[in-house]
Amino acid sequence: MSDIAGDKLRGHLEGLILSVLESGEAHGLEIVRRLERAGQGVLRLKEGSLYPALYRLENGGLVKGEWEAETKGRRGARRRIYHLTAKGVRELEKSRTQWREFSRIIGGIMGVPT
Amino acid sequence: MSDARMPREFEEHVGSAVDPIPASPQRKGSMREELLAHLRGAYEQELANNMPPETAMAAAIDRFGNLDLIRNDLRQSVPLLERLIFQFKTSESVRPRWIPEREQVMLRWILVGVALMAIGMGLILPALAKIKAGEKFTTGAAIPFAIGVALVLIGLFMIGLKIVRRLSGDQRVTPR
Repeated sequence: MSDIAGDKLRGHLEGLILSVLESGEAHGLEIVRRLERAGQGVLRLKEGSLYPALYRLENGGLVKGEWEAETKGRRGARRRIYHLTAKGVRELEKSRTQWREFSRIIGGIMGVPT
Repeated sequence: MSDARMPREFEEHVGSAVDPIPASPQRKGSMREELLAHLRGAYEQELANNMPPETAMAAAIDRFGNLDLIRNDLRQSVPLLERLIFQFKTSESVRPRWIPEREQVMLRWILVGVALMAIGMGLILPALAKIKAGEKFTTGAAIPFAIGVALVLIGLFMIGLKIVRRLSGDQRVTPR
């Protein structure tokens, strides 16, 4: 299967981020790792594009980011850790419903009913 | 990895994505720190895969993606009002050099606050004049009056917020 990247991914990135944060808080690099692992090697995300999406989600109150208090023995800079808010959880449910509807309709048109 | 050993290219890379964005110094400082930490983490992952430093650096930058797209997306992620306030920030020609940068930010907020209050008062005063003249206060007059009051309050809030922050010496993220 060809890679899922770029424009194919852009419109869905925010929903995907909410989805991987459901399993627990994470910093940017960890979010990328979870997305790529869940994407079974086919999903290719340009990592810098993650942050504007995270900032939009944060502005909308769907996630909350907090700076690490310390680097916990790691070398290097402190990281910002994101977690879902209650509003984010509700939005995730809404996104899932919309996705089911989208894939049902498009699948029907494409001759691949879901 | 110590700051001294971090590839200089990362700072330049992140700087070229973040510096032109019309946003507050605090927001840009925060973006810069987070994006640098990400690149640093990606670089360390590549080094851990036994890549030589030069190749690891190139791989981390490649993983990060197209800077033009990221810059544009970062710009769009800044709230509209903040974007408008800092729109002229990068234009050196309109920036009076004799005012320190921090004072310029405060002044810009205060000017926008005063402008909002002026517009608000412009909406409130005609409504007050009608009331004074004994005219009935209709719904049509109440809407601009309410918008005027809201603008005055937002203006006051913006000015108050800047003054309180200045007095409390707020320095959450030190801009570069």
